[in-house]
Amino acid sequence: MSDRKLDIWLDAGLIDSATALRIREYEADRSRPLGLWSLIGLGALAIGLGIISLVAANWDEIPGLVRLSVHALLIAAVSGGIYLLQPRNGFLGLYLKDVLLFILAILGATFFGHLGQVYQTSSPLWQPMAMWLLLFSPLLLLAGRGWLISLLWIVALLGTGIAHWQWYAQQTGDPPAIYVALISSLPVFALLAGIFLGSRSARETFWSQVGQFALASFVAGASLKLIADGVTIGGLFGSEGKAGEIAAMHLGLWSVAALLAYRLNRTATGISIAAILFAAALTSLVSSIAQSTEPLVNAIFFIAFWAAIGWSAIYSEWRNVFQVVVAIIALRLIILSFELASDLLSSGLGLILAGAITIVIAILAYRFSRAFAPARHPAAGQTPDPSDP
Amino acid sequence: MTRYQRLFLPLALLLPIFGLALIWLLTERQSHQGTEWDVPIAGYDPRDLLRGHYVQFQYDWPMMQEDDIPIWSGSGSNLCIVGTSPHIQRVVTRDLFRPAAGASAPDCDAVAKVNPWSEEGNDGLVRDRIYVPQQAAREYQAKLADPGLQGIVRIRISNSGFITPLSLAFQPRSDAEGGLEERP
Repeated sequence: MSDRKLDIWLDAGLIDSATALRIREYEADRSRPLGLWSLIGLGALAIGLGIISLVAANWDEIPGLVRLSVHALLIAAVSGGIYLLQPRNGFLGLYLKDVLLFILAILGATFFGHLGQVYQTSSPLWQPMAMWLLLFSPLLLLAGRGWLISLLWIVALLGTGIAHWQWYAQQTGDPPAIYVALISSLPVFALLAGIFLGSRSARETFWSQVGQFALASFVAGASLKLIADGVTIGGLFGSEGKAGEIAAMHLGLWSVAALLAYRLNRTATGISIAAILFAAALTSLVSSIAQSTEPLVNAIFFIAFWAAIGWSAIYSEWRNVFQVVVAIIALRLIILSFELASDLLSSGLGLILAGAITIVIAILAYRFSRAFAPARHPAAGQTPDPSDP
Repeated sequence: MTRYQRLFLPLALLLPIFGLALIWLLTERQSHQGTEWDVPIAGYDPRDLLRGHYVQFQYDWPMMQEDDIPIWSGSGSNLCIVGTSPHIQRVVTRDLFRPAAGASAPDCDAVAKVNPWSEEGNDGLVRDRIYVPQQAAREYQAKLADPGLQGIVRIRISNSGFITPLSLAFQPRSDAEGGLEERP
């Protein structure tokens, strides 16, 4: 907090001197010796890097059991640190604990690899990942507070799902439709968990972040599927008949999820989330049935899905999301103009046309976004902006 | 801190510690079980000998055609090893679904299965890799390239039938054994 700003506001008559004094006293109370902390942090970083390079240089010399024991001791020590920090609510309790949780989780994940190296064992990637999820989820979800932990957990969950999917597809050659429908719905389950537990937990922000990351990955996955439908017949899920079957199961699953999301959160946010889930299921099913690789048809499905997200953003007043939606639809339109003009692209006229359309769309999108984006105002409930801590 | 957290946080902290310890213990126990065998190796590509920390090689199972080696974990066919550890007398394929395929079903001293989770995937009975210390890498490379030396890999076959390569040794190649054919 800079005193200069306060002086400027004082001079401009925005605040009176009593307020300025109160702000200064408040800030003085809250201020942390940031310089000291950063030097301590720098020192710790140097020590850490030194230890890592010492260990790395002598990795082969150190017996496996010693290495594993040190690894296990580190895990125990970090766990002890988290236990001691738990009752604290200030800077240490909120931030340092999350950082320690993150370090503990990474130490735990690398322990599996370390075991495999020492004992020369191997297993499919999803097995240690699933075991890690089983062992660490209770801790992360019980004690996590910020985006570092919520993002780590969502990435681990979806990563495990994808690893299992790959492994299972490799094993069976052609996994059953119900399996694909369920495993690709993992973000939806995580989203529901975020909504359900957010309303029952004292750490509402944490669960809302879990929900936001889950929703963001869901939207990304659904978009990818819609794009893939236009690239090859059958899209992401391979064969033609199966893609429709899976999309039909998705429609059932995601409709139930949409209903649940609304019942758990009867606010504008709940309705918006339900709308996004349902719109994804519907556009995905229609796209899978249509099996069209026509650029125009494919673009329409994609834009329809993102238009639904745009509607949800207006409904729940998610300003940033709305702007992203406008940008993505504009981008898709620009790509479509290039796709449609591909015959002309070899000629100078086609390039001029596509370039002109690009500029027009960009300007229109900018104006549209300015005119219709929900007003910026402090979020009362949850905003699905992942950059917002 | 809510009451729930006070109660469950210590448990949540202990769960990973005990879980990892248990996994460590099981891995340690597993690593001592099973039988050990010496298998000649063959067919390595000279350009492919050493990739960083490991040597990639092909198993040259005694008395066994390469085409007969099971390469799919779901096929139900295994390698049946006959001999006294660590010396392999002969190796035959054993088909679980068609046990009468051979004239007489031999008593196996060890059974090796395809481990689909190994780094080589379904090809785990055909080829494998062994990690070597970095300092010894140059020496291994020279020996592997030496046509007069036969590489021998000591493997452990666990009780569940999966192979773990343990060490790599070399012995002079005798012409009487027929040596190794050149592979394309």
